[in-house]
Amino acid sequence: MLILDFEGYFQMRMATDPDPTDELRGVSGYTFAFAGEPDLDHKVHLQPDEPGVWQRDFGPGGGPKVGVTVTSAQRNGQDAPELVGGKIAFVDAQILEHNGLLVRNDYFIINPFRVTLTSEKTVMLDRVDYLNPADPNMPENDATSPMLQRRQATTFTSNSEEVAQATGLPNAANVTLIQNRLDRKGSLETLLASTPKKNAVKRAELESRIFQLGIVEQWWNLTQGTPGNRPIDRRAAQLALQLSGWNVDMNGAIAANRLGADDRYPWNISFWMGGWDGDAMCGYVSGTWTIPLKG
Amino acid sequence: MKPEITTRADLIDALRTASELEHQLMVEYLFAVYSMRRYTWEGLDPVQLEWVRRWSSSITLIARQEMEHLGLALNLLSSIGGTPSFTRPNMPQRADYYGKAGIKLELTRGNLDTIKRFQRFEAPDRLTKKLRPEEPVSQSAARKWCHDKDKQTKSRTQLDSMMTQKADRSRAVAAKALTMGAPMLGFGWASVQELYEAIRSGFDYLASTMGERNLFVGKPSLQIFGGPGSPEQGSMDDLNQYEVDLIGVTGLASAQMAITMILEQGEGISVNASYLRWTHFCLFTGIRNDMEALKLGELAARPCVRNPMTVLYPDVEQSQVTPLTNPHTLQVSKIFNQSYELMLLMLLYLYSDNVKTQTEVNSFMDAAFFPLMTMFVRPLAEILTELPAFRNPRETSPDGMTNAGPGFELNGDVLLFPTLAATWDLFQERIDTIVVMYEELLRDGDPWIDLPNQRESGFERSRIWRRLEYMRSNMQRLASDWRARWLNIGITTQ
Repeated sequence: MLILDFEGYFQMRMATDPDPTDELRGVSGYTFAFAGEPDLDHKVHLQPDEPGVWQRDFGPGGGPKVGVTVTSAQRNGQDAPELVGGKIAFVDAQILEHNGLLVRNDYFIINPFRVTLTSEKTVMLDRVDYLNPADPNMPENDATSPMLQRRQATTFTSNSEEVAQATGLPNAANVTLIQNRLDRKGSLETLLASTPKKNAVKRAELESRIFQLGIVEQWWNLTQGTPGNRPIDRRAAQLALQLSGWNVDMNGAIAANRLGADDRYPWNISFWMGGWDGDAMCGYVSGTWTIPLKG
Repeated sequence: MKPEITTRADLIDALRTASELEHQLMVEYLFAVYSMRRYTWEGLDPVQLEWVRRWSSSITLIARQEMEHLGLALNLLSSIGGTPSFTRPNMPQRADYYGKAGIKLELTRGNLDTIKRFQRFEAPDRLTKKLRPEEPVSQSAARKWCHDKDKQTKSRTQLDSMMTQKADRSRAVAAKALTMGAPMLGFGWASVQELYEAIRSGFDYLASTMGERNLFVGKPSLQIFGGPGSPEQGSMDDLNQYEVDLIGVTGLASAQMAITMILEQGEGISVNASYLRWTHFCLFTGIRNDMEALKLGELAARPCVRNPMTVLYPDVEQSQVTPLTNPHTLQVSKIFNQSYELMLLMLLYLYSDNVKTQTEVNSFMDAAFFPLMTMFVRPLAEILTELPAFRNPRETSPDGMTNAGPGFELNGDVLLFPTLAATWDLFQERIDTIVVMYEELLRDGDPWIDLPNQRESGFERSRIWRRLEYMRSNMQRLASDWRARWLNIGITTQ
């Protein structure tokens, strides 16, 4: 058995509720393609060199950098250090719910789902999973409940300490999450101050991001709390929100198999996603790919 | 003279007027925002587009809060035994339709003139008293109001107390008018603010004369609300997550709170100083300011005709209608109007006393109402503002406009199906009909491929065709889901 643990930041430049899920720039949600940036592509990118990735500047405070790698590997119970550092990709994947039409209550599915492991520019493993193996090209909107369940996350955890630990937050308390957004805002303000006036496009992007980062409480909730003491806004809350329970026995075609994997059996992959940073449009993924070996 | 509210029937009438008005404002704001330019190929540079995007975000926020105000007005109505309604006149209407309030019902693109009109709709009374009909608010007075340093941070109790005192004064004036034989005909209020102050006064009066218990006879379960007191508070189903604050009305205190909130969010009456910049009036004042400074008052919006309609309704100002003549645009418009009406019907069902469990209510909201708004009504409206209004590509409206837009047309009253047993199937029929309309539209080629900027490398079809196909597929999913009684939904709870 080959066991690959992987983790790191991914990017998904997607529109957020109540924007429609095919929105290209962002209007009514809290994620946007700002001035000078390409349209939102709605795809999950685990590697920084994938087309569609757009990594923003964060100023002196820094921010997430896209890159998901193998952090530990075992082959039949023995360490396999040569595989550590290998790059995992979810090729063209999307995290979908079609605003409630496909699945409800934000129990997103991942689709399409094809996973690769690349080491030294060589694709070592590459397998796809089909929603419906009997009809690999079936549109996702035709999926039945059991088909959807195979691809869904199962559990939401707010203020997850596991997420906080993974992303380097001191803890998952609301006050920490709010402070994180305000720190990012401060960092961008520093960056803006050093951005020349002639760089109007960059300045416009930074000004919009600074405005968004200033929203850390539900200011519209006039019936709850007092100014400065209202419920936390989703922009901050999602920094420690965890969506876990993805567990897929990958059933489809194998395009690369350089590690002696047994193609007669499913390859299981399980992972969680969380720590969503709406300013970076990045989140954290952590999981395990378990692959049976021949012989 | 302002009509006084002294009976339940008066209050129900005033609340129905309020909900109709909120619905109208929402539609006008949505038309304007969906007409605003989105892409660099539309003649704006990236910085200009960023400004337009910020304005669009603000206007969609305001429109969403008008939906919230509509919801609050319906909750207020339901709480005293009234029947929620989504009936509203088609556009356009004569300027005095709402009397001295000067709210002209018409659909106009999101340019500077429209923003000035919206700014006046949301203006506090103090700034509109001496204005002629349709005259814009003084921008310097508006800026002063929105940056009033004298406003101090006040507690909710202080704000409520101020509103009550204001309502008392309003009632005294109205009572005097009544003794003088003032008629109660038509829309007797000079502004939205005055209407809500009268409603608040009416609630106070009726609660004191007939007692709260006798006034609030509606079933709380028939209202739509989130946040505290809602069964879904804090969950993924809580409605209060999208910059709205929908509260349930169960007595005088919550009724007063709902009305105070509407006035705070709109005009900024007695608002806490920290909230002032978020009020609708100040948001529109800011947009007007920026549009004038950047000289983007005309460029911000696509060249959409005024009041684009698929048919001439007998009860509108027909001379101000722009009839759509492009056959494919007409087809898209009809799908839009059907989707909009279906959404209203579903919402009406949620306010009805038909047997529903909380799970059914949530499913209905998640599976039908929200996606209808975000995945169909909005994208169809956006597409319409890109499509030609006229059959002849060289034809323009008298003011030089070429593009269509969403007419938000209603074929009469929006009424719930009378038979509960058949309701489910009747909704199914409507959804299936819309699927067929999409299929017919997309069946014969791609009539939009030669419109500007519709070709993209790697795609055979136009951008518009592909977006419509995405919607067709999603509507098909909704239809099959409905048929399966929502069984194809995977995991819904943990």
